[in-house]
Amino acid sequence: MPSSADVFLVDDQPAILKALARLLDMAGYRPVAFDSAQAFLDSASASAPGCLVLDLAMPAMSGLALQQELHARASVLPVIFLTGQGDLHAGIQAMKDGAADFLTKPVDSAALLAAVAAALERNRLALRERAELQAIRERLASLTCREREVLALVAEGKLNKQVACALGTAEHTIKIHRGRAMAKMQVGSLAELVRLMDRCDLLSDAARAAQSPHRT
Amino acid sequence: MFGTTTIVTRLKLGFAAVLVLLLAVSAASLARLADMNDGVQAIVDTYHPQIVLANEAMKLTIDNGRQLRSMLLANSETEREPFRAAVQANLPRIATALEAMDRMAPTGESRRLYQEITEKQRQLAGKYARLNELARGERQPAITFLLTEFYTANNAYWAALEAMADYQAGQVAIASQSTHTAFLETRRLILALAVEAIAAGLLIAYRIVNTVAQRLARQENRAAQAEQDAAQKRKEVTHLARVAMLGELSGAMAHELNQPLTAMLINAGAAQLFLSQRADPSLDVLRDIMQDIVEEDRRAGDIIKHLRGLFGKSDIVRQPLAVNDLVFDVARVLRNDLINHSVTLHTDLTPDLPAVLADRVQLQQVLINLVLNACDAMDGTAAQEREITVRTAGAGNTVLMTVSDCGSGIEPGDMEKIFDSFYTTKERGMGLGLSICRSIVGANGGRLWAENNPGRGASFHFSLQNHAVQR
Repeated sequence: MPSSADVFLVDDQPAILKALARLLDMAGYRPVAFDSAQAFLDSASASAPGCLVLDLAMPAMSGLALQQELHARASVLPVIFLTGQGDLHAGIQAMKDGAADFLTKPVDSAALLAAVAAALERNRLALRERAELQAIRERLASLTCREREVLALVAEGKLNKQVACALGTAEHTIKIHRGRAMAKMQVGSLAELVRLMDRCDLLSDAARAAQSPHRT
Repeated sequence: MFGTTTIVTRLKLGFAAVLVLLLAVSAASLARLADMNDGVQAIVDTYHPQIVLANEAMKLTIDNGRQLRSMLLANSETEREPFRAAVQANLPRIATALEAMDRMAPTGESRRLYQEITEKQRQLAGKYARLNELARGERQPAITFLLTEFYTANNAYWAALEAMADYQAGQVAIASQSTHTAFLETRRLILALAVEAIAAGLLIAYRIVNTVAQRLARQENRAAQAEQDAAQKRKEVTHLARVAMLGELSGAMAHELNQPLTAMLINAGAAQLFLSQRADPSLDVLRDIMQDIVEEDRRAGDIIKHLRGLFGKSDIVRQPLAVNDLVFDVARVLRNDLINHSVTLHTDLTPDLPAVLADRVQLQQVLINLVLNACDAMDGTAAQEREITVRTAGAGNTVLMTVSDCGSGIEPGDMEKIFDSFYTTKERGMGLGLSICRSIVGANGGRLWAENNPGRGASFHFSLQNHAVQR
């Protein structure tokens, strides 16, 4: 399904760059071509949405090196490798390091387009996931200290009474905090809350926070 | 050449043997002749004095005869006296001669003749005595009668002496004759032997020289054949080394060709997508795509032609070359190998260098080999520090090319050894590269050598003569 997502192309062979750009343009994507890995990094597209089609063997910085640099920058840009050598070792390494796909030249156009579509979808989902997590974190940050403590204990499955006892306040107070916290977190049930926190891997974080009351 | 030495020795020995034979026979013959000479001399020594004595006795006898006649013709005793005295004086002398002859003639014919002489002389003496007597008495008729008898006796005596002398001379002649015959025979024998020996020697010499010549000719043939075989083998080895390089460059080949193929395939895919999307596709777009595909196809063809030239078994074709172009060609061919080894290639090319007369393909082979060696030399170096520099420069009548790396360098003691055939420090190396490179550079009129850099790594230099100079 054509979408006007960016597809970043990095290859030191101008003829191949041109051909790839042409193909992707016809497929309805927006190709952006770079003739070296460094040029791509300099363009600050590492954090942009889209996917990356990357030649493995390049002078100066190789494809694998670029992949590692993207990792270091915590980029979620999916990487599709194109290689003329079919080097098994390099391929395994690339996949282990989280490449979206590894294709050998001469590359079949249909296979490439399928890989790009899959990668873009992956990217879309990843970005959405990231955005959602960000939202959750923001909500969490909006909680007061007390509310956070209460939520942490509640998420562990403790009853209001037990929470009150643990925190040294009245059950009623706990109920109010709980209600406000749940509203801020935009969850309707305990189960939802737990799922939310699980997604953010916040359960253990919260527990730790609860155990050291002076932390914020 | 061992067989020839033996033959030469045999030849020398043969000649020496023949020479020795000749000398021996000559010496023996000469000794024999000397013996015979001595023998003859002995005979002469034996008979000669006898002859002398016999001659002396004859002389005296003649004298006596004359004296006697004169005495008889004398009219008086007084006149007869001197003649008588002369005869008297001669007689002892004759006696002495005869005694000496007696002593010298011990046996055989000589003895008989001597006895004959003595007998005749005795008779003569008797007749003389009688005549003397009669002459004193002046009894003339008796004297005349006796005188005849005396002369007869004298002749007989004379004949006996002559016989003796003849006999002696005859003996000497016989001895001389036999000696001469022996001498002639011996000479003939020596000559015959000499001729035979020389003939045999010449025959042997001819045989030996012939055999030697044949063997030498055969050896020369074998040498020529071996030379041919070696040349053929050298050609094959050079080809093998090239083919071995083929293995090393197979990655480069595949990748080189892959680029245009990939571009073509993607372009074709784009065209197909374009056609499938529209009912009325724009021909201009398709035309552009076709153009690109054709260009890529041509590029692929060039690469194949270039690589085919690199690995063909063709003979040397020397032509004027610009070395800087050579460096570009090689840099292109090896692009992917350099990338794979994470090596950066720097070039330091002097512009406007004079052309060199050399075989393009062979020089490329040398440069490729040196650059790949440099890559291997830096395997132990950190990836970002791997650098190869290719320099070209002109120096007088020559053009100098240098390939420098920053690897581990060359052991000082190995500077020349590395150019030996089958010397390699690589696990899977054949060790032929540098030795063949050296031959190639040499065959193209240049020189290849290595040096360690003042800092890190080593440099391989090769010089080639200017095209103008070589002409």
